Amino acid sequence: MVAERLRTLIVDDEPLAVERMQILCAGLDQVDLVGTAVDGDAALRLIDVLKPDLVLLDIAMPHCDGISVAQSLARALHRPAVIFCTAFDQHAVAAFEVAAVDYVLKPVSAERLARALARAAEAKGLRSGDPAPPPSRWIEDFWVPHRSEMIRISADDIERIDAERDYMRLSIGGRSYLIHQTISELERRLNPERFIRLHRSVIVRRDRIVKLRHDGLGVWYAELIDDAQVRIGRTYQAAVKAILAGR
Amino acid sequence: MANHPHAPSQFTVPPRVAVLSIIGFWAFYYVSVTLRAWIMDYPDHWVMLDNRAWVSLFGIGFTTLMYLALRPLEQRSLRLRVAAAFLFAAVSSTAYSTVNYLSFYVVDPKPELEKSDVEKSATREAQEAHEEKKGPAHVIADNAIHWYFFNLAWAILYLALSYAGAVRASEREAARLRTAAQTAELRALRYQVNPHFLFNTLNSISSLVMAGRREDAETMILNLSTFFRTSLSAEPTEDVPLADEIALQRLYLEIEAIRFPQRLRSAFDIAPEAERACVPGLLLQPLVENAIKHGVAPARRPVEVSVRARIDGTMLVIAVIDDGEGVQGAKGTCVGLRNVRDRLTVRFGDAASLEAGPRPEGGFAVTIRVPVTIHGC
Repeated sequence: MVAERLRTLIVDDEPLAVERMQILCAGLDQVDLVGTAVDGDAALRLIDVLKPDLVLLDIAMPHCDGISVAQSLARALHRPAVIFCTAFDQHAVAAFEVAAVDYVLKPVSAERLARALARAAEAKGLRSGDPAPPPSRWIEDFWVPHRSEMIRISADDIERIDAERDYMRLSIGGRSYLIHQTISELERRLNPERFIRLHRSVIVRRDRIVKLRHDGLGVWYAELIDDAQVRIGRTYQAAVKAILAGR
Repeated sequence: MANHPHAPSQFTVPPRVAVLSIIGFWAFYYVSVTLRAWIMDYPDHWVMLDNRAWVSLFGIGFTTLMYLALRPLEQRSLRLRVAAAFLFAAVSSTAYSTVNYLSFYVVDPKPELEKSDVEKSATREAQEAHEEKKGPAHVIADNAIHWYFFNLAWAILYLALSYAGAVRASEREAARLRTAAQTAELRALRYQVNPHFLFNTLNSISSLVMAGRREDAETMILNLSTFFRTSLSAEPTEDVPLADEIALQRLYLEIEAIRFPQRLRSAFDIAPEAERACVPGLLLQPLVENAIKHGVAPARRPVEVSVRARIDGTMLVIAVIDDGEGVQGAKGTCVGLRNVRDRLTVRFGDAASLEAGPRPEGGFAVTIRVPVTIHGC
C-alpha cells in the first residue's frame, strides 16, 4: 500500500528553523513540501491558495501567532491538520483551544516528527469525506507537558483537578500533570454533565463520586472511588446535591 | 535554657561580666569602708580588715547566688524580674547579715569594738546604742535592712546590664536580618535563563549542523556557552565593569542575530570613560531581552537595538533603545523592568533611577542612571 503523501506547509518566523524543518521533511517519504511562510498572515494566505493537508506551525510569531492561525483555521472551510512546533511549553496551555494533531518541541528529532506525521496522516484518513463536525463547546483534549514532550490526554479520562496556585493538577489513573490555567476557566470549559466542582480548588469527574456524607455540623464531604474525601465548599453544596439527586 | 542552640550567647549578660561586676561591687565596698576607717582614723580598724575580707567574700557568694536565681528569669517580663530582684535582694542581704553577725560577734569577736564605737556614722551610733539591749535576731534584721539596698543596687545594675544586652542582641539580629534579606533579594532578582531563548538557539544550531554550516554552528555553540557560563556564574551581589556587561550583551545580540538575520540590527555607543564604571552584573540583560521580545520578534521589518552609555557628572547613564513597534503595556515587559528597577533600589536606594517608555519617533527606550563608581569591580 502506498501511503498518500501529506502536502505540507512550514510556518516559522526564524529562517534557520524553517530551514531545519525543510531538511527534516526532505528525509521523510510521506511529506510533500508545498511552501513556507514566515508569519501568521502569510501562512493563512498560503493555506488558502495551496490547500495543504498539514501545517507545521510555530507558535511565537510576529502579528498573528500560531494559536491565532489555528483558531482561524478551525472556522475555515479547508482545515488542514495542524502540528504545533514550539521551543518551550509556555504556550501549551492555550493548545486545548484548537484541535491540533500533535505538539512537538524544538529542536524536534526526525523520529518524533515522523510519529507526528503518522498521526496527521491518520487524522486525514479519518477526516476524508466527512463533513466537518461542529466544534464542541467543551474541551475534548489537553496537551500537557510530560518529561521532555507534550502529550495529549482526553478530557474524559481526567479523574480530578486540584488547583495549586497558578497551576491545575490533572489526575489520571495515579498520574498527574500540571497545566497553567485558572480553575474557573476549566470549570467553564469542561462538560458539566461529566465534571462537577466541589470546592474552590477541586473539580472531580462526576462518576468518581461514590457518596455524599455530612459530619453533622453542616459540612458535607464527597467520598470518591479511591476513598478520598473531598470537603464540599459551602457555595457549591446546593448545586452538588441538586445535580447528584437528579441523575 | 541550657538546651538553647546558641550556647555562647544564651545569656543577655555574659556570666564573666556578671561575676566581675559582683566582685567589683564588693571590692568597692571593701576599699571604700576601709578608706573611711583609715581617714576617720577609727581606732583598731586594722584588726577588722580580716573580718571584713571574710564577710565580703561571703557577700560575693550570696550575690552570686542571687545572680544565679535571677538569671533563669531573663526571658520573663521586666515586671516579674524587678519583683524578683526586690525579693532575692532581701534573701541575700539577710543571709549576708547573718554571716556578718557571726563573723563580728561570734566566731572572731573584737571585744574592744563594742566599747569603742567603731564605725561612727550616725546610723551606726544609733544602732550600736541599742545593740546591747538587742538579741542577735534584731542585730541581723537591722543589718539586713542596711545591706538590702546594697544587694538591691547590684540586682538592679544586673537588670540594666541585661536589658542593654538584650537591646544590643536584637540590634545585631536586626542588622543580620537586614543583610540576609538584602542578599536574598538580590539572589531572587538574579537573571533567570530564558528557556525560550535557549531552545530556539539550540534549534538554530541544529539547523546549521543539518545544513552543513559547520563554522557557523561552531561559532554559535561557543557564543552560547560563553553567554551561559557568564550568566550562570555571575554572583548577583557583585558588580562588574560596564565593559564586561557590554561584551556579554554583544554576545547575546550576536546569537539572536543568527535567529533573526533579516530583522535584527544592533549598535553600541559606549563612551570610553564609561567603560570602567561598575554596574550590577547582568543588569542590562532583561532590557536587551525585552527589546528582542517586544521590539524585534513581533516586527516584520529590520529593527535596531542600540545600547548607549555615557558619564553625566557623577552619574552613569545607560540607555537600551529599539526602533520597533513599541510596547503597549505588555505584561512581559513589566516583569523585566520591575526586576531591573528592584535590583537598582536594593543596590543604590534612591540614588539610581530607571525611566522607560515608548519613544515619540517609534520604538521603546529604557534609561538607567546610577552613581558612578570606578573601584570595587
